[in-house]
Amino acid sequence: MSNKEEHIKSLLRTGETPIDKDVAHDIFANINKGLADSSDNIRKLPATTIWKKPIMRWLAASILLNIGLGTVVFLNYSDDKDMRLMNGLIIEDQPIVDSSRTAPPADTIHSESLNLVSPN
Amino acid sequence: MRQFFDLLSPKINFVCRRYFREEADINDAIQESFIRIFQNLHKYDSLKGDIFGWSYRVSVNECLRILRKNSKIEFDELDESKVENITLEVSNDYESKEAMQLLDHLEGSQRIIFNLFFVEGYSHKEIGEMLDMKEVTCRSIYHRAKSKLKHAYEKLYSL
Repeated sequence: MSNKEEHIKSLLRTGETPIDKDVAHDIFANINKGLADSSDNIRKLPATTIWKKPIMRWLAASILLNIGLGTVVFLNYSDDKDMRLMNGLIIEDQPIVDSSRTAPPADTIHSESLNLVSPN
Repeated sequence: MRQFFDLLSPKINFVCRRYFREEADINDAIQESFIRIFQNLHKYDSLKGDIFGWSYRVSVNECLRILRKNSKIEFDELDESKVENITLEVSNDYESKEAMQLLDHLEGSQRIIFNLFFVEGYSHKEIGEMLDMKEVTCRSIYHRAKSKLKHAYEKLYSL
């Protein structure tokens, strides 16, 4: 490649064209949306099969219910999102365990934990 | 993130303009390039080069992906015997903007192959594999593109 051709190559390789402010604003908004959408796709990943088995969810919930000395934790797996949260597919600021809730009477713990196994 | 976008967007815009002519296509390519860049930022290895070079490469790949996806790469049959040795020359004070205007004389496969060979430095064999075409056809299209640019330059500046 001649020097002249190297010159054109350099021009075409290193050039810059600023984007109009309004267009840049729109593109940036779309990029954010695109990134959010792709993040949503990750959130939509199905939970692993093991958590689909009610017995496994009941077992895990039972273990978690008994964590801590004298502290009864109360879990509310009311929907699939929380189930996936537990599975590590969603990382959010929300605490997994809501320890602020008061402990239910001992004779209701079992029935509360059973709620975990029927998210639907 | 916004600062990174503002810093990089003129370069990415320029890359996308080399591959697309329509504003809507260019903006789509910029957008998709940045989404790909942000999604893969964790894969960037500073030991292998600067962030601009890496982003540039991501953008070129994204442009090619879009072109393939939209089937905008069309190949015309060329007479391979007519390949001639052409030297592309422009004056020393020629600027990027003018070079880009010159590039606008190329369309379709000529534009893509000229960019990939002349600007990006891929071999005809590599381009052939990328675009699923014969190496010799790729070479012919490139020379035709170069010839077209040479004539366009001479016409613009009445040489």
